[in-house]
Amino acid sequence: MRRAERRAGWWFIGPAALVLVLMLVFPLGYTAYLSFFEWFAAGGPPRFAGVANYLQLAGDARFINALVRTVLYTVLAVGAEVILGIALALLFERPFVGRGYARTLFLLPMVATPVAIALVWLLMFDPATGVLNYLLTLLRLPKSLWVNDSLLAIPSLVLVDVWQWTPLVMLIVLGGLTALPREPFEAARIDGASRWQSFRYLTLPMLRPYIIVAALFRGIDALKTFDSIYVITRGGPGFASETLNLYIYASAFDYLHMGYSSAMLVVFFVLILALSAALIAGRRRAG
Amino acid sequence: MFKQWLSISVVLLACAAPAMAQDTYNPRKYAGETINVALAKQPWSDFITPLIPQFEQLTGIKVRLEVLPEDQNRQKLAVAFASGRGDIDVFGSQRHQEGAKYYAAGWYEPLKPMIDDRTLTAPDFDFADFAPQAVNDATVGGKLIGMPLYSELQVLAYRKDLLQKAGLSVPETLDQLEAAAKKLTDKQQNQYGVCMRGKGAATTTIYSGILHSMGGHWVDAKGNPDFTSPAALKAFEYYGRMARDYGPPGAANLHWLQCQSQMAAGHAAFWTDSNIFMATLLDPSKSAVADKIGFAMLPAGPGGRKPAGGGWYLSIYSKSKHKPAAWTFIQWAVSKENALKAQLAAIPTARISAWSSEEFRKSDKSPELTRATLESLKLKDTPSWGPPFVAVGEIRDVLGAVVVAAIEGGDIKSAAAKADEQIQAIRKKTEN
Repeated sequence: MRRAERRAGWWFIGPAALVLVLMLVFPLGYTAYLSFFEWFAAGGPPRFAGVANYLQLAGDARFINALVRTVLYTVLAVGAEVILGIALALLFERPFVGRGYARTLFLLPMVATPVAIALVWLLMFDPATGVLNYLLTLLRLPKSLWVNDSLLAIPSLVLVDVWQWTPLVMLIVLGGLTALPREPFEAARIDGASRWQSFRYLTLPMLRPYIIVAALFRGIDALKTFDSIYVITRGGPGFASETLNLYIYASAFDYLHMGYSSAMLVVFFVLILALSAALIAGRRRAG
Repeated sequence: MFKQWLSISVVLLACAAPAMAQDTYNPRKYAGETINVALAKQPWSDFITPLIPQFEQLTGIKVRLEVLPEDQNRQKLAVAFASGRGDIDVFGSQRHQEGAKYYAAGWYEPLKPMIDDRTLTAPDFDFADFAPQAVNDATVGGKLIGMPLYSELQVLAYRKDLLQKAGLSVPETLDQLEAAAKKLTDKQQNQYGVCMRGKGAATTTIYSGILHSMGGHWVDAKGNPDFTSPAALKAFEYYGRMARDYGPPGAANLHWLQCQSQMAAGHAAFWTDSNIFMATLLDPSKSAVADKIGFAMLPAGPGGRKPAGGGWYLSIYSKSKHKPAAWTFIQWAVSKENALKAQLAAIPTARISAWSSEEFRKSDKSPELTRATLESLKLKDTPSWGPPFVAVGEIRDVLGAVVVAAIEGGDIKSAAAKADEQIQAIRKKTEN
């Protein structure tokens, strides 16, 4: 009877699994396949080129700069989100008046449409008429060019990302916090540990798997961020905020270099896989 | 015998009559077909959209119109054509942007054969009525690839009241323009002498006029880019100074739409851009300074007066399955009647009859803009908005980065040298 059940199970998940495989494996496979061809989509059919695209990537300064910017953006954004997320989770752990409403309010940025948010931030960033510079002048601080300055473009975009996604980290860590056992903390209090010591030696290590999961989710998404950067700066000023995803998009849909873009996508995919693997290994060590 | 001959002739004539009727233009010949039209959002697309039901009634052809912002439209077309989908029939494009690329890929349907076909073209179409410059610009490799919608070129818009108050006359040279912009800039009061585009590739459109007025050119005698030439460097420096010292902050975010808003809100004293964007400045419902705007030709530089130009065209996709119906739409859209209506709506069309008509002369709400446009059209050897390469989009991005470097006060010479190299590398990959 067990075997018949098992076989019936395959029939149930079969169609879904098949669709999943087709939708995941086929695009990945075709992209990897295309990366070995040279194909200018306005100039005729693809031509086999071996590893020429990859060799060209190694010497493409625009690609390398985009890669560096992508890593920088991710490290800044995820770092800030994790720290702020843990802080917020600690804040929301103990009950206080209006906690329910406050928590809902804090979750709203995560729920709103990324492009709509990006457009509003674009207006807020405007150096002449934007709300952010207005607030700066109220605080007697000098006005900033925000996303219109080559050096400030990435940090300003990180600000948008942090505003929108810290609630996600907060949710995950909060879940972890409420699942923590009480006994170690009671024992620590009896032993005379301070709040800070209890946090540093008990809470943090026990939260580590949750923090790593949050960092993994946010890390993968931050590496791939496209919509907010595209809407706010389009990669500008010049190329100062062009991350890898933006460059690949321009290369494929503006310049029609399909083979080259595929090669970039393969490298990008390997990068994301590597980051995920590192984080998952870290998690296993912690658990 | 005669009676027999007569009756046979009558019968023959009766049979021939319907055949002869087939031999003339019939707008309803393709009734029942549906065509897909993809346009970029612009003054002309805003103008034609409410008129489309008239076309559908006149011909029985159903129109599925999609209007997208310029960049998105360009990308959508590129993807649709590259993938071989045949379901876009009519589209708008610019020769200096995608023209060479699309022509090289064979995506344009040459229009001359259809224009010359009496069964496909209305007898009053009058092809000769189109401005020769516009037709020239729409011709690639000797083939007419689209019907011109505009007589589009670079003009200078200025605030008459600000110039008067400061005792300045309309600048005739680029140096005078800079001096005037400097005098009219007061950043504390949110008053800027000039608004220059700063958004990467978009700057190259305006840079073209300045480059050529400084005596530079898109390509040297061998057909290669030469952006380290003294004229090109001078043009970069001029552009950078104007945007940085006398322009609104956040230059990197400025495209024609933002500059138009700055000008219409009264914050800028000068703005140089395409004449097709200027009508909004004169509309009291959209401009705070509608009655204070004047127009002039682009000031001259050491190389002469060289405003850039080049318009939009309505073209047919070579793999369309409804080419005659598509052509019926295009000829209606640019007909004498519709061109006149557009001209009266302050759109600078490409038909000579519209410009010289009585109605337009009497009701011209912007005689200065008309004069600036017509005088500029008389200039010789005016440059195109963009360089004559196939991968124009990519190359404009590379060039735009140099302009942005100039605006930020960086090292222009090395940026320009790098750009020359990169452009040549791109050309090697995309031109053969």
